[in-house]
Amino acid sequence: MIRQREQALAARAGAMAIAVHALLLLVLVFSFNWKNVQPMNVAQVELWDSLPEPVPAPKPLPEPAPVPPVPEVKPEPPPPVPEPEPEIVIKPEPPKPEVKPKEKPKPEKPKPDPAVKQREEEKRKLEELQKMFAEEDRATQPAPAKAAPAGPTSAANAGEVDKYVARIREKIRGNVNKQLCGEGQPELEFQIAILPTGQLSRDPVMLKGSGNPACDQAVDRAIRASDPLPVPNDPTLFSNFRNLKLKFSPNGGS
Amino acid sequence: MNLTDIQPAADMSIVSLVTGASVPVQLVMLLLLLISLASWWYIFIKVFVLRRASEEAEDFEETFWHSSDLDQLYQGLTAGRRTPKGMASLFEAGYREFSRLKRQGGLDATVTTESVRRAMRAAYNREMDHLDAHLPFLASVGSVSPYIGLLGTVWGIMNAFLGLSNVAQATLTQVAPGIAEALIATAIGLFAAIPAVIAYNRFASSVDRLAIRYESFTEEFTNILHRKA
Repeated sequence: MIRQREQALAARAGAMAIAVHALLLLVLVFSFNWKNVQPMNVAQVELWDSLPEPVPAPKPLPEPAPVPPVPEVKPEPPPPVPEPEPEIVIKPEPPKPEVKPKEKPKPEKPKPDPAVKQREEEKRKLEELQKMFAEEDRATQPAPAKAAPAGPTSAANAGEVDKYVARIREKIRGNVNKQLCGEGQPELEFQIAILPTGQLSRDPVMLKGSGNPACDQAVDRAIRASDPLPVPNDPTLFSNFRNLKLKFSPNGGS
Repeated sequence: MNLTDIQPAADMSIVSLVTGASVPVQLVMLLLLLISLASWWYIFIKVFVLRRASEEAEDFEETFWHSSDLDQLYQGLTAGRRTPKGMASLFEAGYREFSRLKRQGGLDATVTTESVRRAMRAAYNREMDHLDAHLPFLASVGSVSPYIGLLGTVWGIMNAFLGLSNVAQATLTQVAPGIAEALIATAIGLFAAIPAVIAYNRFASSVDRLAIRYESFTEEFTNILHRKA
């Protein structure tokens, strides 16, 4: 390994080699502080707080606003002119084909009295149509519609949250292997973190066990298997599910 | 709302990365550390040896070209207890052969010169052997230790993904520490390889320059002896 004539140098070179490594190690240990907590916090703040604002606000406002003025203002001037009216009326309500046939008879009759009647009928129909649209909107997008009335009242929020907590509990209960938990009424408490998509953002943490490890594990597995969990679409309610403490008894009860 | 709660308390200092790695990866790291220590040891030894050889060659050329009497120079070199090194050993081998043939007498000048040249060639080879020592080791470290580090990394990442297959919810936080631990092995391998490659190239060129100096001295000294024969 070491030549005869290198022996005098070996000790000094060895010491220097060790010094180099010690220096390198010190630089590595003290120069890098690999903690990844702070950037993740920033990302989460953006995720939760930016979403709720724009979604409920624009939806309810534009729909009632533009539709009513159109039938009230526009139909009145053009009774003698048959052509432009259907065009104008069609524009605000493109999805409804019923509008066209109902409005065609009206411009054909230029007489004032039946025209007024028909206009009132028309208004009524339009209002019905609006209601239908609103109901359709509610059916297709339940969240914003519900969010608008439920937003300000905290009592309604609590009810909604309870509803979804119950649904979460039901879904988990369906996945628990009840044989592992025996006959009694064990009660467990889990802390689970749910993303807006209903997925678990991290592993569930058991706060209180049933005393039976097999049962604890069964419930833990059931929580994972229930992913995605049901969550409300209303973004303002998410804060309740981000860190949910869930009391749970596998054999029924609350 | 304690947001930090969502994150696992990940202390990713280099110490925890090394201690948290799996056993094969730790073995790879240990091996690489030993390799790195050895290569730095040889690097420092070679730095000293080559610097000293260069200085000695310089000094000897100075004394050689300024001395009028070669016999006196030879006596001075061999009088000491230590055997001459480097360029002095070439001179010593050549002059000893020359004076031995001279004492025998009756030999042709060409024969004497050839004999002296052979003696000096032998001394030159011995010197080159000393100068070239450990360079193959440095070359091996430079080419192989990245692969050893890579082996550790691949093994560690394999483990990280195997662990990932056992959980229902695959998140980055479950693989990231394993991959970071594994990548440390590659980092150590590169830390060992880079200095070794640089040192190898530098030492190889210094050895070449010394060899050229030795060879030119051999030629010049042979000429001088040829004139004296």
